[in-house]
Amino acid sequence: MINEKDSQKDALLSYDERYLEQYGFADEDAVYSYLAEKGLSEDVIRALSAIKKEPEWMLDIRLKAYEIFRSKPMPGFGPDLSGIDFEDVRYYIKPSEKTEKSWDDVPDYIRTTFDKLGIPEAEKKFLAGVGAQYESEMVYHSVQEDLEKQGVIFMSPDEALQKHPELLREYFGTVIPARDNKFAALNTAVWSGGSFIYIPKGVKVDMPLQTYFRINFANAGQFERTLIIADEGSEMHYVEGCSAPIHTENSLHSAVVEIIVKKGAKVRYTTIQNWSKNVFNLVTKRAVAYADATMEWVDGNLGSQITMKYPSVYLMGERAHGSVLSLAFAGSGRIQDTGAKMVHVAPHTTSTIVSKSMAKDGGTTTYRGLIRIEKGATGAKTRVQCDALLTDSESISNTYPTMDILESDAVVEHEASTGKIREQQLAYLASRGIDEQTAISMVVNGFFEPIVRELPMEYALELNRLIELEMEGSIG
Amino acid sequence: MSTLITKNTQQVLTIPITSGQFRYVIEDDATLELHYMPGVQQLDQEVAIELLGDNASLELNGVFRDLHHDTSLKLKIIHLGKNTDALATIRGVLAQPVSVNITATIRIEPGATGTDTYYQADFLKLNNDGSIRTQPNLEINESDIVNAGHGSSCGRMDESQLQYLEARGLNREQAKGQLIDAFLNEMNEGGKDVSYDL
Repeated sequence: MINEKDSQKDALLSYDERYLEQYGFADEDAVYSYLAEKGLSEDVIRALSAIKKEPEWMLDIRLKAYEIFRSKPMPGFGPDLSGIDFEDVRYYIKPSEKTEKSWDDVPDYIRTTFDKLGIPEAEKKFLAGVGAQYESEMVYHSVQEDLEKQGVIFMSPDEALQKHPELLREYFGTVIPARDNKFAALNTAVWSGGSFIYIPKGVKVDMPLQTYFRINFANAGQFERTLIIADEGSEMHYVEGCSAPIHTENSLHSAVVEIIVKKGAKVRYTTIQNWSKNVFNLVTKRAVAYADATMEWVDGNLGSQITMKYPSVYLMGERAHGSVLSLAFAGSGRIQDTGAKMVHVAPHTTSTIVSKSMAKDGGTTTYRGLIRIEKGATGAKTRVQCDALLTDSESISNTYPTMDILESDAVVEHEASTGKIREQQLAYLASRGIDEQTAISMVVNGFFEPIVRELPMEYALELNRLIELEMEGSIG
Repeated sequence: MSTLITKNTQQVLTIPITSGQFRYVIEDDATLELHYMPGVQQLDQEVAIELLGDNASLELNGVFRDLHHDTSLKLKIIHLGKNTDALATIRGVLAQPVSVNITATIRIEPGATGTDTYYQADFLKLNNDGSIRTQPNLEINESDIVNAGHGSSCGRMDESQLQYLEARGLNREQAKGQLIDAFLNEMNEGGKDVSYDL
């Protein structure tokens, strides 16, 4: 019989060893053109804004947001965030002087990092455009020439502030204002990097646009700001991945993603988060969908010490549709507090939420969701399904769905289940000659399959490999 | 108010229709069948049911009908013993401009192996005013369980079913009454008049 504690320790060691090899390395040769002192103050914000040569109105927004951040309390729900020391974080780290359009021009040490992560290879094969963010800045951006000619804009918001200030100003903070929550205020005060995307009317971008975020420095904070505007009838798919080295000090990742999906447009936003165990990952993601628009979130959370993230869609126009596919895996000592929110405002809107989570070796997964049907949202239909797997007695699974229904002409359905890997399933596979370890991996992969099949292929493969590795030694 | 369901007994009780806190503790091999029918007064209740002993069993049936006042219920079902099972079903029909707020938490403590537990809440909302807020929570701290789940739904009466009954000679009110009775089926008291006062 396998000793459970030894097998857990082995699984943890092997996971961290593998993470260290693939993602967890730190670049000791990194050279920074600007390294902010630790801690947040008005001076840090003014310096950041000056380095970026921002217009006065953006500095004004930052400073007001800083005051809001200082006045707001920490969230009154969710995991314990007392481990965050805001004064021990560096809020701005500039790795290079500018964003390059040619991969060969990116500084060597940054290229090495992203080469190791396999990023430029992906661009060559099947992307319409790609961005790479290292610490606080985008170091590389490219977009296919024919898309640029059609008016597709894909750049960092920092660059957009210089080249498309009116467009950015029109939408910035309209979906997630600084007042929304403490971490939205923090991001608004110190945001740097991220993606600004505008898809013109009727333009359909067939291949995904992708950004990869990388934290390198210990105690670094990454506060990217993503703003996507999909104009009428347009379509796009955006993919982001993230990772960080394994440090002993904590890092803070607090991003804001705002998406406006105009009439008849369609946006899919896929995230695979694989932060190391020292990262606090606190993100606000929200989309507004207008008439006949579709907004799809595919949200994969594999890493970090604590993640709090609840992608949401406000269905503002008739027949708008929102969906969230959420996958969460919590290994030893990690907390994935994730979920989704759908707010039906207009008539005949629809939404679906599918959440799959697994906790192992003392991890904690929590689904936290909201369905709200406003008065007047006649004919609204929504369905939520949450499933959770627990593999041992040290792990915890929680589900907190809320349904607020103010309209009688609406259909709301919700279902949740929590369980363990069934003996009958393992017995069935054993009778087909499959060893127990492989059988466990197959069952778990099958559990996540409805979401994994929606991921880009390289992420799906990586996820399957991770699951196989994690399930080693899980017998019993 | 606390009520103990002692070992090897079976009890059928009704939760009092008054605001307040109520606690039920079920011991080894005991079964509790609990009924809940909020009525015509405003209610703000907290009900906690602890399946303390091994093989303790709970069946809870709640019917929200004829509600003319706001109703708030915080329900907690806590599994502590081994091989306990619970089935909690709430059905309600909202025809008045009132608000119903139900938070139902199923909690499985470490060591409560073999738990089999399910909570279901379904509502028909017939009135455009008023609101329903339902929050079915799961807090699972034990992996070796049989099943833990919940389901919740809210909708309006099926127009095609109403037309079917009207085509068979029932007037609108009678048809609605039939459908509501069918919806509330298992929790309905025998002999009630089928007409439903909206």
